[in-house]
Amino acid sequence: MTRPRWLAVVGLSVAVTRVDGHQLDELLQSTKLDVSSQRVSVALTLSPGTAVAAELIRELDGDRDARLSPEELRQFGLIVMRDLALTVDGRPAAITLVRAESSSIEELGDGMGALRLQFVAAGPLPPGQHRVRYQNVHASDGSVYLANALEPTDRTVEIGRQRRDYFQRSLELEVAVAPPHQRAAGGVMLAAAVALLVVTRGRRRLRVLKPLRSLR
Amino acid sequence: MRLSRWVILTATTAFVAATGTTPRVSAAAAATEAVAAADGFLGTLDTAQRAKATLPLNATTRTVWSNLPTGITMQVGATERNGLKFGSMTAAQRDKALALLAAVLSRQGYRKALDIVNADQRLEDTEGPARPATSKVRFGRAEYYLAVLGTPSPTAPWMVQFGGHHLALNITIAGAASVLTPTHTGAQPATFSMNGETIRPLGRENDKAFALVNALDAAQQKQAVLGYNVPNLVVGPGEDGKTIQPEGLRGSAMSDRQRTMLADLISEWVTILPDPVAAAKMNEVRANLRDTYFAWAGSTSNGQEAYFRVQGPTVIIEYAPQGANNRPSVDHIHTIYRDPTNEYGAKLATP
Repeated sequence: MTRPRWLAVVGLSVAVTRVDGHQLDELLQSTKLDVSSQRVSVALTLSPGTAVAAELIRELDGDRDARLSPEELRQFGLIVMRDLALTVDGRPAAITLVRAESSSIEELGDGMGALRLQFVAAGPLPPGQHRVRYQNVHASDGSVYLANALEPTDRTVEIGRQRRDYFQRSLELEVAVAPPHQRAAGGVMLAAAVALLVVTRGRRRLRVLKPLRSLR
Repeated sequence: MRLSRWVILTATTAFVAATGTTPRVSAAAAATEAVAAADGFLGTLDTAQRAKATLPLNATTRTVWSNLPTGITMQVGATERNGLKFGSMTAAQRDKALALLAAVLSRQGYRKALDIVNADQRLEDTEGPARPATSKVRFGRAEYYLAVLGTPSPTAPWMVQFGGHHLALNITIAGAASVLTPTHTGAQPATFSMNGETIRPLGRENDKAFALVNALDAAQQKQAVLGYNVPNLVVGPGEDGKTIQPEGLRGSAMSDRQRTMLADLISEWVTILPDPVAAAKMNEVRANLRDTYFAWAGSTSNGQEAYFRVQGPTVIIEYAPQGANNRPSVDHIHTIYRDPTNEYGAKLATP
């Protein structure tokens, strides 16, 4: 399978950072989808509560040395990735792990740590209407989920209706992608309309002012 | 007696005596008062304390805040909050610190902040003894930090941060203007007794939201109530700069009375700041109410667990009970207050 060029930039970086809120006996899995005309980015944060942290740490710390190595994080990210699915218009899209970060084992054990995984998926979305569907079934027994779409920063993309299952394991988005030139043209049209409005209002104001001036 | 002087200030009568009974009449006067209070606090510190309490104001320093207790790496990667913690202050320094806090907050905002701190002390009292000796995690009054970012000035931008577990007040001040976003409030326990009084730090937020969702008709509720479980904040601490697609019932589909209730709900966060500044922000909020969404997940019976979100052009608020087994707890609340157009006072030409 030939991957789009943007998928080739997949350097894996590992850092020791970041945590989120604190559930108690659940693994909170929060996903944010960032949809652009070039790709769909998937940011997944996993925050284990104290009661489930030990199990997650066992899964993470394969060599039991009480430290999380970049390779252990990468392996965990790949395990999670197998439980993710993303389709565009019903067709599966390849997902690639690009980043894995974690708090320390101690913080994870305290129920205050988190793992942050970053994936990219689904190559360029051509202009038109699309249906993007994301699903996360990782550790579905004992997890709670959040799945949300960010407001697109790509001006050619608009997100319409959103559908989720009750547990937010899946999120389906209606996505409209406009041709870049159409958006640009739309911008020009808007600017022209604003300019016309300003000129028209200016003329009206002048019409009001003229009688006043004539009174002087 | 275990209660320190600054905790005693939470008693309403003492608080009113300490801060005066007359509402502030102008934002400029409030700004001047804040500068004087900051100088007063910093003037009590020795060199080492002052080095901890003051930081430059820039795009990195101002983002160091969290919902988490001391001892946990924050979302931004920092291992300790900005500023000097109350546990490292003398009684006189704590008084000045509280005076600064009172100067940059409204009366109800100050009360809310101290109620949250006192709830956390209650948590420390109940859970601290059972905590393993090796744990670095710390809760309670001594673990709240006060920081001054930049140089207190009646004209140039500066910032006050006050935070600890379940509280992160980020107050950017520039002359007569001040901005509270992003700010996190939370409470655990969400209801407790102190000095014979029942304290609910976020009780009004809860009650106003339930009143609003129950003021909606069936069709409106169908639009407002999300058909899925929301177990936590979506754009909480560590999620700066992220705005999600709005959902729920749009303000344009509400009656005037319902929009008034929505504005009143939002005011619970906005009015943490002093009156003149809060009034200006509320005018902005009201102007955008028709484009502001109200979303709900969970029971509509007050006392039961429910998440809600308010999202408009210049405001994002989330309120999320934290719980277990898909059942959020009403006794452990997280909230977030953001303005996607004005985080950390972006409109105030901050560094």
